[in-house]
Amino acid sequence: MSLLQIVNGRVVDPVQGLDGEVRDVWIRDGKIIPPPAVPSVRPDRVLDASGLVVMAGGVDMHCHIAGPKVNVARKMRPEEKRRAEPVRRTPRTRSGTTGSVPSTFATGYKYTGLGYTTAFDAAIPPLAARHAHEELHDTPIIDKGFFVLMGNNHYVMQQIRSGDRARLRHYVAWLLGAAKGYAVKAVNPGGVEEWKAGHGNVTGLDDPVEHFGVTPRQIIVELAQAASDLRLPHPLHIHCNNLGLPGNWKTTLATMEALEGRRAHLTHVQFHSYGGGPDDGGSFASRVAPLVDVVNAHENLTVDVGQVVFGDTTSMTGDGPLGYFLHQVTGRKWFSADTENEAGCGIVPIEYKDHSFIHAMQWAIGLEWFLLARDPWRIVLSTDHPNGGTFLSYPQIIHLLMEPDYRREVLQSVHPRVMKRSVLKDLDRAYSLSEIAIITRAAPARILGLRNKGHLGPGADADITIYTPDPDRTKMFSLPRIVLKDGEVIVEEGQIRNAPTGRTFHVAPAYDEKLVSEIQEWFEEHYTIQFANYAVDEHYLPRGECVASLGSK
Amino acid sequence: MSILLRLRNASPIPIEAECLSPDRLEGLAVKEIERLEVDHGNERARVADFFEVGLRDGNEAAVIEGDCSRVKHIGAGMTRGLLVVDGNAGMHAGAEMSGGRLEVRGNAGDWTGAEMRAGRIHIRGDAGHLLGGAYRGSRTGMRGGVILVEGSARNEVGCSMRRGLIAVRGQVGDFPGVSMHAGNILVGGLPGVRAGAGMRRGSLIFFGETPGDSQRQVELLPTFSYDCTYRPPFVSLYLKKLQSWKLSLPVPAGEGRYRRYSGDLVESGKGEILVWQA
Repeated sequence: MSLLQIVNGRVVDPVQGLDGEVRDVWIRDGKIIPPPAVPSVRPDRVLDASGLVVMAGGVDMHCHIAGPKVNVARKMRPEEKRRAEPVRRTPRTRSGTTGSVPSTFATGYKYTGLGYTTAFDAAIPPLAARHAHEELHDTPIIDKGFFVLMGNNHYVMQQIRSGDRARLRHYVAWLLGAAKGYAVKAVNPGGVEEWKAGHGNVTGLDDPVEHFGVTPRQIIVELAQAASDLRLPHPLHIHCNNLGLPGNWKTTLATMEALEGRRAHLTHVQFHSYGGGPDDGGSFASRVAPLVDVVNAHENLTVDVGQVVFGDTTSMTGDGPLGYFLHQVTGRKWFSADTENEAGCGIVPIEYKDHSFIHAMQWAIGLEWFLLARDPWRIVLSTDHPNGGTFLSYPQIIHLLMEPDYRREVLQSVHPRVMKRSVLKDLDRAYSLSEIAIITRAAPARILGLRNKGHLGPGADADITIYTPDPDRTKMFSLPRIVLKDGEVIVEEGQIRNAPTGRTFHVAPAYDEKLVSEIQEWFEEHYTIQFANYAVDEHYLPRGECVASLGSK
Repeated sequence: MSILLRLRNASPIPIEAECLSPDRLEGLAVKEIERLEVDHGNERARVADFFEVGLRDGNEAAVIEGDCSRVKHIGAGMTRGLLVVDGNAGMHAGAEMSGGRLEVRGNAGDWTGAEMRAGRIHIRGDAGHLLGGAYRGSRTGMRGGVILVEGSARNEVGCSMRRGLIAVRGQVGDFPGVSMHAGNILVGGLPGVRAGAGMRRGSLIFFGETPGDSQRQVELLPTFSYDCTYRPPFVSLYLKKLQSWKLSLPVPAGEGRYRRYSGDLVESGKGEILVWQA
């Protein structure tokens, strides 16, 4: 029953409306508690945070840190691992490799070292859920979870074709429970299956997905509806069709409109905001303005940005045709996988170059999203790690958002045509510390439906990051002074003091048990594995925590 | 004066000794060299644990004596000076070097001169696999410089090489010039199977055919197409240059003609294989 008091810190907690006010934070048993009413209460330990900035731990709501595609990417890039500084073993921590796809233990250490204490993998095929949980088991300190790929699932598409909403909802609930996943993810809905069947990718929401007799529009609407009906803590998480293609903003706009008010999260929206013609790289342009207007005006929509950062990284996606496209464009090595009945996968190394017009535009388009979005509670900082860059580049992005002069300086150094094609040069907005706290913690926690994350109010998990204020924001956010996880000091000045096991968040929505035998019948006809080996049981989650549906206690 | 390192404790466990390069040894006293760290299996050790360090007359930066076939990374990353291994050298000798000269009087291990950028490696004996090659996952192998081998070399000589020259007096194993982007590989003997597989540009030149002997012919992949028989002038220039480096291929410069094949047609088809015929 230890009692910890963090004294005199400048607390930045937008949920409580605190913007740098000097406050004490009280912690008992890993949770934040209200300051004791009786002044005679003495804490067991006091942490002096005088002059320091105190925030909740960061929450990364969309990254790729576990499962088969991440593992393949690690194996696929020995040339990068060879040069990247390794994580050395200490008496308390294990060794690991870094680069754009760090090894499991290194991922946990590096996230925590950055002041991030929660991270969600964004794309796990249910068939690979067991593998993903095993990797998360070896990803220490941070709390984590993953989203389950359903946008190209055969059973899902069959229910949509037959118009059986109830059965779809029960299946989605059963599948989330079987995978011990957290949310429903749709990646290039319909397009991956269409491409896998050899018909090429879909081009818009109303292209038919051959053989299944559905359209991307139907998949998006029905999955969003199912997630909503199940009152999942996080709504449908959509990776729109046509990622990365010039002119794809129309598809993104159509996706927003197709939702017709249903809640949904559009992820790495930067990659979906491009103007220009498909065969003309010179016409590539930003179409953030019309899209951000829709997001600004519609409370049901949230986005994360998927910011591009210049440098070498690895693209990994459940969007099989996208992997193929990137391989064609870059000429780099390519991995493609077909997860039977469920999903696809593409992995390609990519280097974003500041002197490339396309790459510099992608960089500017991401920043346009941050600067034009009016409500910071509905936009989240992400790089789609490692697709746009690694999570270790978040401090650099924060620097770009907080310091317009620095932003202009970088803008001057990139491909000159960006000045003409992007409105970035005219945007003078500077993010405040409080807004940074929103887009890196409070908003993602709220969008994920995690009530105990992203704030420092009573009842919150005591995941706390303490920064030394510095006008050099990259420096300030790269090296927090202290990071606490569940009330325990984990990082001091970049040194990992302890590496406990974090939680794995999952959901277990109710479904009709009677339908399971029908799912089993279908499953045994189509899958290569036994039904009994499919569902992941609790043993795979060393510290599982089931998050209740919305509206329940 | 040059530094002399004499191997006295040969170990069956490999020693990783990146410090054995002119750049690292230059200006150090004997005592300091003895204290340099090396990896011995999974343990840290010092140069003095394995080598007797001294000085000798000569203009080499350093001479390493003994059978160093279990000593890895000799001369790796070197940028200047002359380093002589009077004996065998282990894996990765001269890997990623960007200048200077490395001479191995015995045999050299795998990955010799891997991803080197400039400089010259001269091996009196045989070389291992992936001579001047690319490390796994890398896009390019050797990017410049010269590798000379008086004996033979094994598989994947010049894998993914982008520039530079490799000359092997004897045979080479399978896949010479696999996936090469550019550069020249000259082979005095015969290659193993699948020469130039996946090559995009560059020249592979084989001098080892014996007319009338069906066992001693160059066998090419079906994705190389015959163009013509001619005498490209650049080959004679290369042979003369090799002679100035004291490497003579078993062919009189300026004589004979070459069959030219284009390939690999599964890639751009802009590479060439030249087969010398007397």
